Amino acid sequence: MAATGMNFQLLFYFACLSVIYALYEDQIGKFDWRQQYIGKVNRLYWEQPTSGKRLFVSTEKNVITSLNSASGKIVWRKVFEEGRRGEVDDMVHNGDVLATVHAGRRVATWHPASGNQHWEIFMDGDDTHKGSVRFVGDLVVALSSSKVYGIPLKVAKDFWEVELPNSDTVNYKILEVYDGKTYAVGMTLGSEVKVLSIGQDGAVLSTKSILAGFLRQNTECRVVQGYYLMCLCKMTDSIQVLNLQNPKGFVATSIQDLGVQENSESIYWIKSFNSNEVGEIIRVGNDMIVIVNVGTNGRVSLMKQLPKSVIADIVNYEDKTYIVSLEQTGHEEYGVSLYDMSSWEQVLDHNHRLHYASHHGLPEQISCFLAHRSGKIVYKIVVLSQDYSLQLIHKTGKIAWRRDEFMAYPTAVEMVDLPVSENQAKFEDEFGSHDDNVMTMFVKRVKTQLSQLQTFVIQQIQKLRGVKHHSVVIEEGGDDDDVDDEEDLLRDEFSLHKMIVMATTPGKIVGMRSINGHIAWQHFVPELNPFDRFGKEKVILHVQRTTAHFPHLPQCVVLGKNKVSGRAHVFAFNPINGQRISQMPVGGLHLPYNIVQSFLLGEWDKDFMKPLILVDDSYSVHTFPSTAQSFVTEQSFNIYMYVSDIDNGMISGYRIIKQQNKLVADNVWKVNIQNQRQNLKITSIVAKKANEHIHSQGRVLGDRSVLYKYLNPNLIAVVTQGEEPATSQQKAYPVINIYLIDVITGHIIFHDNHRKAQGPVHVIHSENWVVYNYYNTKQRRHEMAALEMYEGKNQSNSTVFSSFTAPHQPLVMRQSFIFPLPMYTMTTSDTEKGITAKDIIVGLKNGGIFTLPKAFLDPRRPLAPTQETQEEGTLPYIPELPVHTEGMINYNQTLYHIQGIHTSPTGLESTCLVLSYGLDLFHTRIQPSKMFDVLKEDFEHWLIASVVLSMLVASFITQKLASRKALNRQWK
Amino acid sequence: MASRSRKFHKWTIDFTGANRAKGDKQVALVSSYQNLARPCGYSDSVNVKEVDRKEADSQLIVKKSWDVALAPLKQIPMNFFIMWMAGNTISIFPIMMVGMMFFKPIQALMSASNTAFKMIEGSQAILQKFVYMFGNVVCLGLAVYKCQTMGLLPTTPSDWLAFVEPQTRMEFSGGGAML
Repeated sequence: MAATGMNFQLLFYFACLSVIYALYEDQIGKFDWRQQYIGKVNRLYWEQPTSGKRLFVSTEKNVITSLNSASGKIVWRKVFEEGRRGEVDDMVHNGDVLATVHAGRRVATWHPASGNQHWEIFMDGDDTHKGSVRFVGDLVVALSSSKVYGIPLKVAKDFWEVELPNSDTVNYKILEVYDGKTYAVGMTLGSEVKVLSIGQDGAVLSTKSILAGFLRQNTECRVVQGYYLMCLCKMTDSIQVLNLQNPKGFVATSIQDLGVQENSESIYWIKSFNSNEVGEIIRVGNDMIVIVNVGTNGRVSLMKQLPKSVIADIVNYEDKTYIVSLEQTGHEEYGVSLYDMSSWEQVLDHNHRLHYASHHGLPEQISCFLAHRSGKIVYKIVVLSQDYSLQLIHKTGKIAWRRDEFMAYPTAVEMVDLPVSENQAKFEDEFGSHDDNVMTMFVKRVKTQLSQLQTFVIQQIQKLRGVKHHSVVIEEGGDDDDVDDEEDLLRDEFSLHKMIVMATTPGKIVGMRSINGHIAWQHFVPELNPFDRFGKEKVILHVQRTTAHFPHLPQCVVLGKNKVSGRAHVFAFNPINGQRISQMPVGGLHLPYNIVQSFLLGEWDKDFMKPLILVDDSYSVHTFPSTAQSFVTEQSFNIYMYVSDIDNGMISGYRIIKQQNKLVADNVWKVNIQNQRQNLKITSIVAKKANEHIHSQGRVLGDRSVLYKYLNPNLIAVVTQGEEPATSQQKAYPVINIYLIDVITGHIIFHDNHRKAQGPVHVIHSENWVVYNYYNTKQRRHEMAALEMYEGKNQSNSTVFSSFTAPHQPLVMRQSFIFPLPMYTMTTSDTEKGITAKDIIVGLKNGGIFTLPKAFLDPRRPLAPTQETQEEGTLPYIPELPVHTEGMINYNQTLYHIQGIHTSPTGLESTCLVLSYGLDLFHTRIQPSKMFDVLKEDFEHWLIASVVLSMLVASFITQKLASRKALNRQWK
Repeated sequence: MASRSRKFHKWTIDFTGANRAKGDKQVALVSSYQNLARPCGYSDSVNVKEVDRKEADSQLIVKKSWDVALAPLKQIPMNFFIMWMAGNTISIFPIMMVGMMFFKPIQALMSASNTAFKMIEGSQAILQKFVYMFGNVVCLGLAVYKCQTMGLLPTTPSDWLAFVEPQTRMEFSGGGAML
């Protein structure tokens, strides 16, 4: 009986606490948007045989998909798991079927119209080997590291397999089909090439070994014209060719013989989406394309030079072969040419020019589809650019659509407030300065109001004239986008509309409107490569100056590695309009040193600029902008830095001192958290958000005393993972350690150890708490643990926090919970003043984004509730964390491969913006404590106003009536 | 007009009744003429003990004044009972009751010189006034005590927590894994 009573009580608690985030049906898409991406295309086929209405594509992001070639929209999309296991090694299309091979071992066929799977089989072999798949007759032949399989298209039954000889030493890379025979080509570096030819019945027709001493790690080989193996040998500046049908030996053609004045270092294959039987396209140097072919004697000869061409492709259409080529004709302008291969004549009747924005970089690959329309040849060309974007050019040289696939590769995200309007800024300026006298203030006021009047009049005139459309250089997206994109980038009332600044792997930096996800500006910095942080690609992106300091312009800075040299590469820009700052080169600033560590200083200089501090590998300190050096020198007495060597489990602390007129980082402490036996590796280091606001300095207990929070801004959470080796009694088991370290003094505040637990560990570090998750291998479940740090009932110093005088050992409370779902990542909500309760936002592997109130992850949850704990408002401890479907803020919009979630405060204390990025982008707003600072949408303004008004009127009338009545009574 | 004319004729005996107002039953007995003979049965020698009555009145006044002065103190047991009945939860009725408990004594103290002190007369007036004041102050104290038990008084550090400023940081730090 008591138990049921207790249960009811708990039920009641949860009912009270679980905030309902669910939307009404008509609110779908009102506050949120989702964008689906596919990643960088590596294989592309036009729908066969004639229509070309769809494209079948496989990408680097483990996706196979079908795109509508008229709109670029996704028809269907199959997303496979992240990492090697989901990679699409190869995909082929023959009109009826798509065949793929994944992770070297899994062969599957798909129905092209619907994306449904026909069958899937597993092959023997190693999954690090890149598989290959082809069609021959009504068979699918697939290559694994040790076998070739021939599988009937209809059903995956009665298939044959051929064991490849010496597959442990020979790397079988290439599978090719020609004339009904399947050729498997294996290579041994520095010695030989093995060619197996296999008939359709699975019989090995021949096995040949051919000497190939030139083979090196970087030797590129491919099959051209159906049956020639062509290798680019950089060492001897020659092209080596082997006839697969009759392999006798490689025939070498030196590059000079081709009539090209370049050496092999500057020769690149142009990757082609489709194979052809005519020739091969090679880029020579930076500005020439040549087409070569192999004669029957195995010699390579030059067919055609295309000197102006940027990129070219060979297309077969109606028994003829054409070459399509894009040629630079002006700034941001390309011309399309189509040559008939037999006569070398231009097929297109007039010049086709297209606008090709320079922020896409160079085109990397193209694929062309030809068709006849009213007697003329028309084309569709898909262009894959250096920035991973995919665009389709159609018959008149216009860009029909563009897919911004770089958005699937975010490496850093920030959200920046939009600026207030100029007038508003002037008003604020008026109150900002204190040394003005009355007269100048008055003049200022009059001026601003005049300018306000002026803008108002201009607006009215424009309204009367009707909205003028700017001449847009190319059609950006659909037509419906244009209208709201013309809207000014000004802050709205509650700052709910922000600019999302995103840096991506190919070096593209994008500004997006948070309200609809449309790209406001983009900038391509091809030399900017991301750093590798804990196996993830990351660049450093900081907001150096926000929009709050009019007339100073806001400024963001991106720091990465230079693609060529590996040294630091910086790009600084205005986050609102994307313009780079003055003195910043177009491709970013290449700094002459390697970076060890970089961070943003918490204080701004006299121009409200927070300097970026860069520490190079000789531990001297640089700043960006370099003019801030003197400011940093002034401040250097309280700037500290830590650097961790993640493989050796070392963390070192540095202070910044002045030495011989320059700033250097001076080592102060070292912490070794290595354990040789367990081979611990640091897998994450999480500091608090620098701009986090904490409203409450303590926590009120049931007896109304205060437990003060331990709010050390210099605290970091460090996670190490390793494995306890097996002993005679016990099997090996994984371990996880978590450390809380003060980075000023190197003092380890707290350490905890989880045995039989493994990562990936995601850590949230905010206010005075740390929440992390791990996988419990003993119980086989996902768990979350919460740590909270308190100073105690007295605050040691209520005004300042210094790590040198900080309370030595804070009270650390901890509890762990069962979280029933695996996750990609998690983060916490963030609001303007930190008054609103915090939510934990979890990106789940099932594609959901789940919000969980922090109150569930409170280490003070009591085992047995008492009067006092009820007073405090803590929930009784239950090991399971509840997963309500109402907590899924992305409702049914599944998101794949979530890499991270970014939260940003808005002008409303109750509201927090959330952006989830990964393969898909999803943006919404959440209210962890419900919307307490804004009236509800269904608040009846009119009813209340009319009631109040009518009451006023009624009281007025009755007053009149009453006075008249009183007067009458007097007259009696 | 009518009332003034009546006042004018107050001192005349109007046997005709012509000018008498409707509700005016009483006829003024004092004549305006001095030389009228005394009415029958009127005796000048009948002695009314004026002094005794005055003495009794003053005692009565003191007694009544004490009643007034002690009234607030007499309410205290009742207040205790109400307090107990109201409980310590914070909801509309207990709050209203606490509000009344504050309001009443404060009102009484504010308007004391107009109402209660006018009623307090006699020799012990000062003491009584003091007792009256004391009683109200005790009532007020009781209300404060009630607030205290309800937890409405900002007496604990938790009540001042919202005004605690965040600590300013002395050192800045940054860093991470080696890039």
